[in-house]
Amino acid sequence: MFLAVTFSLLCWISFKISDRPRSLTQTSNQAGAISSQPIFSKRLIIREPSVNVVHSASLATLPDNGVAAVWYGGSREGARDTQIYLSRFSEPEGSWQNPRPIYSKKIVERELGRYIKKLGNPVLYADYHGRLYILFVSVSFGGWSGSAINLAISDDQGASWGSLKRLVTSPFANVSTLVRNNPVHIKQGAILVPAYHEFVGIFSEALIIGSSGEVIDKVRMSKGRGYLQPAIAMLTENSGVALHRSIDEKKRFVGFSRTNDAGKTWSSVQPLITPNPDSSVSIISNGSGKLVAILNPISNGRNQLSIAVSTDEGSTWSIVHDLEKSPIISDRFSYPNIIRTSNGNYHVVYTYNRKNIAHVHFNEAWLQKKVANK
Amino acid sequence: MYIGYFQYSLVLILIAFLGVDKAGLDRNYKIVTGTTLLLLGFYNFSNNSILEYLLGIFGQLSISTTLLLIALVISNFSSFSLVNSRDKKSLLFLVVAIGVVFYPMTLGLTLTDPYRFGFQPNLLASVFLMAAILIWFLGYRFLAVCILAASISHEIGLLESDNYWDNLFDIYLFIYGMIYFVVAIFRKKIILHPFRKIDQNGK
Repeated sequence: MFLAVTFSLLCWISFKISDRPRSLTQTSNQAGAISSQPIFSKRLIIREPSVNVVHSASLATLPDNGVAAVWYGGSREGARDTQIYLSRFSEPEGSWQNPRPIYSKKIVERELGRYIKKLGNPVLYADYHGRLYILFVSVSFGGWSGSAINLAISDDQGASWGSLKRLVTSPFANVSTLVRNNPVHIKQGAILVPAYHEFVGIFSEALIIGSSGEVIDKVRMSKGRGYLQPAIAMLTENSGVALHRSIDEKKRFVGFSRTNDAGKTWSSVQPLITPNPDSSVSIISNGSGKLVAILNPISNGRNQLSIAVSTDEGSTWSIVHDLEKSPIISDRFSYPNIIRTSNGNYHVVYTYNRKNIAHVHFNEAWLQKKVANK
Repeated sequence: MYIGYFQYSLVLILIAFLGVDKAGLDRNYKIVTGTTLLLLGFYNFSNNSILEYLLGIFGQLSISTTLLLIALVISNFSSFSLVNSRDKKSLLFLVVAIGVVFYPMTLGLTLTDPYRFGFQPNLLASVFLMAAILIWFLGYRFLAVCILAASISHEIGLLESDNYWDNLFDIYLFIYGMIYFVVAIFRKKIILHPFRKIDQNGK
């Protein structure tokens, strides 16, 4: 009897392990609730075989400490068959559900009653009521600079979505406002959405969106052509910082700016000493003064992606761990997105050579150990 | 989205009417070509109708543009003129005067973005409404109606935009105004001050 029970248990465990997606590296501890033991794991989110290219993933926390991710995928970037995919990660099980498409060109055309050429850059956000917001761009004419932002809200954690709303954010035929990084909560139920403009000028912006999805305000964070794709982290109710992707070939450093009025005004963007190869960055606050960023800390290429930590409100950054470091210059690990769940665990997703979305999961204990070792 | 279909239906009808005028045909042809082009607007070409293509590519038009289109369609089809040359000129002058500063700033020339003031537009709308009263009593009634209608439209959320400016004017009206005045300057038909006194014929 004892042998039978032991055998069954072993079979069940081996089944659960084999059921998991392929891991890039080893898992150093099992995921779970708040743990003083370092936890670190890395895996790829399984994509549909028919999807050649995936890109621009974004995460949001779910009420059960689970995580939802969205990204876009298709036969190639900008293809008309591009769809927005959603998947969920269960921390106790350590696995992702099979991704399912939630928005396609046809669905968006039907909901908005107009012609749409392609979709891209989805961004997820979960508010304090457990409602899930999705923002993504759609293009009807031209390239990405012809993008407009769409917003939908889900009351059932992404199982179904409310009606899609087209946000009008530009007086120039509503083209050229894009989203990339996660919104942050500000006062009175409103959210601050990092955005950017790329048409004649290329600059960072932020939208303030009310709880019903209405645009309340639009804030310019930089001007001219220099920085885009801001990533915002709030330190207190009013103060926060932003990191910006740099497109200036002469100043290939991450841009930095600060707000002290909940995002209504921003200091001018200053270059940090951290390099940036014209690539997207992601940032989060751990709520006790520490900022964590995911970025490519190199001047050219995207073959290195690292975790950086700042303990002085973003003024200086230390690289504490390389998530990816390849000698092959053509390898591309990009468009990172980081969130922190209520149990203090961090989740990172990023584009892995445009073929997969990689997921990294670690906890505060692991991060502290990495910081201490530096 | 339905207001968008209505706006681009007006565009198609106006194109049909202007085509008939150009061809020197009579009013009956306007009915035929206008109806044909309008029906064609709803015809599906590879999953989308022409109206859906137009709405997707150009977006919704402002209330002022919509009113101007309505006025042009009516005056082109009948002898009833809702808008005279001076009305049109005053609207275009206002849009161009604002637009030459507004659009470069919104496109990133400065750190200040005037488009922002249209999202919570209490002050902006108050200024325009007071100006509308003044403009009305100065005799520029179409311009005053445009401002009033844009303010009402913003209040009731007629357009998909939450921004007051988008109700007031749009890039197409600005481009039309620029072309109108550039052509007029070249033809030396324009008097520098468009708000000049008019004669009894409204010219």
